[in-house]
Amino acid sequence: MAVARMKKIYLIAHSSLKSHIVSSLHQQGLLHIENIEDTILKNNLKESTVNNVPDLNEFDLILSKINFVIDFISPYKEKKKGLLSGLLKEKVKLSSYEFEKIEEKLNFEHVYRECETLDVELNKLNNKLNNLTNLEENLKPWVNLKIRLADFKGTKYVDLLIGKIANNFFDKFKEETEKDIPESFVDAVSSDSQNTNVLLVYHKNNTSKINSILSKYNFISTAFPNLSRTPNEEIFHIHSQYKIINERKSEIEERATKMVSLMPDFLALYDFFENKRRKKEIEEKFAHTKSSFMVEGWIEEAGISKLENIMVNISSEIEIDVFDPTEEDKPPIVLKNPKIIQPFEVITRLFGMPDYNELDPTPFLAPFFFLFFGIAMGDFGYGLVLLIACLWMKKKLEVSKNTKSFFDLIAYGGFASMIVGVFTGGYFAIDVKVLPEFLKSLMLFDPMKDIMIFLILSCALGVIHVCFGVAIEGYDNIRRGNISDAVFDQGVVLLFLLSLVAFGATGNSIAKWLAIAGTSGIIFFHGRESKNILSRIGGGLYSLYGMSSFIGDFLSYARLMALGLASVLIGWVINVLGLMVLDIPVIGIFFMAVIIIFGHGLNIVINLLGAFIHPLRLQYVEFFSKFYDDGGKKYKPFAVETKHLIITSSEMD
Amino acid sequence: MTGFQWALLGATVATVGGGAGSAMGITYIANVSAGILSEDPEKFGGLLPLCAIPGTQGIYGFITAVLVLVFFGLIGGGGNNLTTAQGVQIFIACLPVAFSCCISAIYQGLTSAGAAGMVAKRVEEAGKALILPALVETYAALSLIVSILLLLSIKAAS
Repeated sequence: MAVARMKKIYLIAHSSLKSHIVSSLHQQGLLHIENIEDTILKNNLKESTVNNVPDLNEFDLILSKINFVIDFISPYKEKKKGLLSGLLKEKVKLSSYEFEKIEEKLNFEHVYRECETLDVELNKLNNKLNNLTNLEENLKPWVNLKIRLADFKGTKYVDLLIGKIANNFFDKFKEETEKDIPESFVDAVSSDSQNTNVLLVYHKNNTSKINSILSKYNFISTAFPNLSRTPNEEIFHIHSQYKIINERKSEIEERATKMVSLMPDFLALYDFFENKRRKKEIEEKFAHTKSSFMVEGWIEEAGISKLENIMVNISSEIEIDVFDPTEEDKPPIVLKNPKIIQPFEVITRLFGMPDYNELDPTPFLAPFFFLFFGIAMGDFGYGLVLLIACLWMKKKLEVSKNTKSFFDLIAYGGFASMIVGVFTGGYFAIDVKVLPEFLKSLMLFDPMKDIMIFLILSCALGVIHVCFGVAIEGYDNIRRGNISDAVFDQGVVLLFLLSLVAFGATGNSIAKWLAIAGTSGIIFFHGRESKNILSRIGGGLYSLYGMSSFIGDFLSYARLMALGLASVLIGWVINVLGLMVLDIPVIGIFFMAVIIIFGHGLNIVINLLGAFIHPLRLQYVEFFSKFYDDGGKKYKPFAVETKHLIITSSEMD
Repeated sequence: MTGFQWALLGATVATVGGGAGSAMGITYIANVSAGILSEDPEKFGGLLPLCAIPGTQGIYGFITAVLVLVFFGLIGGGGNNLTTAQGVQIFIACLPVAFSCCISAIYQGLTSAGAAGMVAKRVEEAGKALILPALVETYAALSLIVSILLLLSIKAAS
């Protein structure tokens, strides 16, 4: 019904036309190209070299270079603040004309080389800075030492040594050294909580004696072989170097910041080369002979004549063969729905595309999702806020088509919530008592007071939804000609469920007899595959036992009431709190505004999540399980695909 | 204990049960998400709803507490009229939410963490990943409904 009819196409042409044909297929985006190796056995195409792996190195290299530039520049970009930019990725808008010319516009190699040079230098500077910081840390304990570090080489008879020793060893060490070696000098230059930094001067004759004392007290010597000035002068020198390095760094950063304006161009360039790469990569799926190539793909029926026209314009020597899908084929799926329910296709897509011969569930689920979302949100004001917010974001933000259709879906939900809000008297959860008479007269019930009505209504919707699902399966069976299945499986189940519900609600005796008829129908017909009468009845009884799962299905819809009540109650509490602080003199009204705005804002966000996920779950778990088979693969035509861009149709064509 | 005190205990138990469970559940999934985000910050949009899912139980506990306060006029000082028997009934009515929401929120956090792994590996399946933890939620919603019905019947009887 709403799954578009597809045709299989084989396109054969001379190799010299390949790049031309691939380009125009890429531009038109009409053909879902299959890997020919999967469908055509090699022995059918003896001459072919099906395993043709195109060389993509050239593109990969360029793409990695572009990525390098983007990564290099992006830290300098001014970040957009706010949660929204974290959730949604905005894209760059570009006309198709500009997109095609992007390579000529940019002196890419030049920018790349500059970025590379800057990056290398920046790394070097950072390394230097690290080394200097370390050196400074090491020098700091020795600032009081007034000896030039070059002098630590020693003289003919005297050696100098610096190092650290644990605080509790120092006194003993000093005592022992001065006692054992009279020709020595020990001085504590500085100390911290653990170690004392020691200067040691001694006569060279005593080297071995000194060494044994040093190792006894775990003396750790320090040396600055590359430095010559006094520690204090060296630190001063380091500071002056810091200044030079940081100046150079900020120069580089300034240049990088200037390059930020090139960012959109580079994002475009990335997409440009990515698409070039795809054009090359797709050849892997073709079959090749010495001088010809063959493409296999799927196309919508409506697109065939367009494709043929385009190919005729390229050359008259292109063979296009069109076939109907056979039983074994699995054509890719395009959902075709009227514009008004297109946003609901998101729900179908999330679950998985239908099988080619299945019904598209989108038109069936759309009204229910709409209604359920409305009940779960259940407030006119909240719905209005959602509706406006979604339409505003859709207009304002440059986001992908999928994100836009998601906004549409939530906007629908907001609209539904407005409708439900009118019937339940929900206007920013304001107390029903103070609503104007006109609005009160529109109310069907007050969810805060008539909780039972709300609960029954929710479950009743569940009965309708589930039975509708069963009915769709029945219709599907009739459509395929399995009329007996439709009558004995789905028909009997519907009779059973509906009459039982009717009997439960009214106690009507007609309903009672219908329910008994339904029950016996299930017992007698549901096991009809087995020939043996006993096993047939047994199968029927087992199936009857399985009917209990419907109770769980119906009750599951009670969540709608829980969600609807949650949004009203939280909103009510926010209003109560707001009125409470109003009693505070002067600033009370300010506090009230803050509580009301933030409180209701928060409530909308929390309930949006629930109002989306739970109706979704009801579609997937309770509704789809009755009739829907997914397993179709999505139609993904070979076309221009962009990661960072939105390409608008060009005015210059 | 007076009826007023029992009713307060019920409201408290419901809030604490739901809130504590939600806090634990969210902690779990948020920790996992933080790990994923450190590798790939662009998955924020897919992970945030998962982190929020175990939060509903806390709200259910809160709703139950508010209903106790509203139905029996505790805010307006009407609680002094409650008999001890009524107070105990109210307390019992709060227990489904207190237990079910606490436990389901923790396990929903664990399920969400599994689903977060799915988002990490296949971000295009983020929608399906949302559905799995939502299955756990059913029992929290049912317990809320039972608690509300019990409170309603106590109110009708009084």
